Amino acid sequence: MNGATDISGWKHLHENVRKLWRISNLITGVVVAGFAVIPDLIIRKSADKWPLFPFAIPLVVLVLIVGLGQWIVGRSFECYRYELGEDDLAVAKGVFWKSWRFVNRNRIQHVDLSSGPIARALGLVHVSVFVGGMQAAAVSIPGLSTHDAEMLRSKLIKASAEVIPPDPMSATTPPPAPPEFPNG
Amino acid sequence: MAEPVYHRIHPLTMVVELPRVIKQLFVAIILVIFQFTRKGGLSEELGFEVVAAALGALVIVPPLLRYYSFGYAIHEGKLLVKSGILQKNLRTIPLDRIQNINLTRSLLHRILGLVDLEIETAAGVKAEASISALTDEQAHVLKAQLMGTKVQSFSRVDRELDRTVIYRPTVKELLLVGASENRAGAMIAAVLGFGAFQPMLQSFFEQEGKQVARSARSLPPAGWQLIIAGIFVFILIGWIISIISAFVKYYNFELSQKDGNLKRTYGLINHFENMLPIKRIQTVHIDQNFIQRWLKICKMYAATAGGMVQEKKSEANQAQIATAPLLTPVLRDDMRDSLLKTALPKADVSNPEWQPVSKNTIYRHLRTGLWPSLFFSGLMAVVFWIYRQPFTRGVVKIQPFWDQFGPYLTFTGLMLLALLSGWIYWKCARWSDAHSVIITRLGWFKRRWNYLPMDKVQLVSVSQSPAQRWFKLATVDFDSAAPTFQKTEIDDMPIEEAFALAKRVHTKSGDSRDSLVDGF
Repeated sequence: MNGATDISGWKHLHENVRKLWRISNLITGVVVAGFAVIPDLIIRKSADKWPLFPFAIPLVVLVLIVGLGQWIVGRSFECYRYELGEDDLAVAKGVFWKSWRFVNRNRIQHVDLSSGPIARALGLVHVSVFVGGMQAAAVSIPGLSTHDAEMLRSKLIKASAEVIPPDPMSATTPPPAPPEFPNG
Repeated sequence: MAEPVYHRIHPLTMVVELPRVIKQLFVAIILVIFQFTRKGGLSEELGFEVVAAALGALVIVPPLLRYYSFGYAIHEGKLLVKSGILQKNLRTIPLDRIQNINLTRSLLHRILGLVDLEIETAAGVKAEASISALTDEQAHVLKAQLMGTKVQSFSRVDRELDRTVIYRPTVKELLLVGASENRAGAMIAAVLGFGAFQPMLQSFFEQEGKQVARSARSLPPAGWQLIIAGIFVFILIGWIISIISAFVKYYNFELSQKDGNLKRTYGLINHFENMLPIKRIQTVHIDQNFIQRWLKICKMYAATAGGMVQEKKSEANQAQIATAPLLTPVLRDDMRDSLLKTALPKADVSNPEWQPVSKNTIYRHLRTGLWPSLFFSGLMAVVFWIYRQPFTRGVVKIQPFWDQFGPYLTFTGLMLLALLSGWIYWKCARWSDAHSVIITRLGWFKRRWNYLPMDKVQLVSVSQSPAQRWFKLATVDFDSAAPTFQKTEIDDMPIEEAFALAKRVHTKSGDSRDSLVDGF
């Protein structure tokens, strides 16, 4: 690994994220396999001789999704890293399509913490960091312990409050005089 | 603390709103009319007067309610807009957060002397406040207050003198841009599409029963010529319409400068005026297709963090003109540098030191194209194999040439396309980061320039696809707060260089405080 892309020193997500991802992969697999029952039934009903055993299609789908998914979960946990720098937050992710994202603390508009039912049961919180003008989160860290997430949030927001001095425009220019309309 | 004094909109707003209300209640109105005109319907019991009254009430009551419930005020450096009857809304916008202001007049507005005023902040894509409608004078007073400038005399003569005109395209330039806009691509696509369509039509005629075949054969040779002529006329009409619409839309376009704001006014029928604080400009974008390159004209856009989304279909006013972050619909090439200087005053971007992307991008394009090419040619081979089987024989006949070489030709063709796109990308893509502005130049058919001051960068990201990893390349992405032209990206830089650039811009962008307010 060359110097630029070296993220081995960066922080991992919480260990439970692996569990969370494995569970959601299983759920996805079961749901998709459930849908695959319909074509299976139709084909077996219409074809005279179906060479495979009943419910072969959903089973294959399930094995494929879960098999691939469980492998990717492990890899993707290894690749998902973040680092809180002096004045920025960096997040690296991706197994096949890799990306490294850098946000300056003074660009952060707001930070969201959210967690679904399974994540809550595992004590995980999803941190999303938003910058100006972008609809989606600029970077997100999908699983820290509640304590870590709150620490990160307070660090990000406190730091940005210290870096940004009060708005220069509102501080220096007095608000415009009340309006005087010709025909109020 | 003084109570804010709310101002009403102009009473004639109700007239201006009529088309919108009628459009909104179209179904209801039709139903009412139907109900009353039907034989044995309600009209026989109630009479014509009641019908008219019911319709009138449907049309007049909503604008009336809006008129009485709507109010705006400027109070302690904030714009307050209240609206709503049952559910009351009060929107507060700090004046220093306003990104830009639009004034719009439709034909009806112009007859009545009214103006719609829209205010955009950095939040969301839609206008944050729409004050419709005001008199001309009210609007100009309000605009001056919102922009924090002195309220000046609003006589037309003073307004004429009180600005520096930067650019005023000639009629010829407007017609040229209308003529060269997008239609070229559509024409080529239409011709190619027709070419691809023709064999399909022929085979269709051959396969369908004899009756159809006979009628196809009975179609005299002139018939095809007629169709081609028809398509040509169709394209010609589209072309003329695009020339006329550009002319009508941007008639009398003027870009001027006043107190650090750029002001654009244009429109033959619907009149549009926009104020754009120069310091709020996030990115500047220029584009030019190859015909325009030959004509030496281009289009320039300046995106702010506010809305100004392209071709906005406004529901607030039917007649409203679509607003793009278009700085000027047409610009002579020799004016480009001076206008860039105006839009990005602190940077010298006239002669950037262009840097190329890695030459490996050609191989990367080939590598990216490999799997799709394999997939499609493989698919073709499988389909042909199925058709060759006994049970499908005779259903469709594949020409022996295609049967034999089709998949190979498809694969080669797709790979050649990938090679060509890679070569064009390598030839055309340039970037520069001189003078704290990231500049990219992309594309051959339609060439695009992006200017993003480093202060305005919100997010820096480096990404790498599997194919890029193969050749140690990466894509660098810079996001600004402007919703249009948000991304400025450079594909296929050597990865070390990509990280170096990302680091440089990231560090530099951290120096400025609030990119949404600070001037560049």
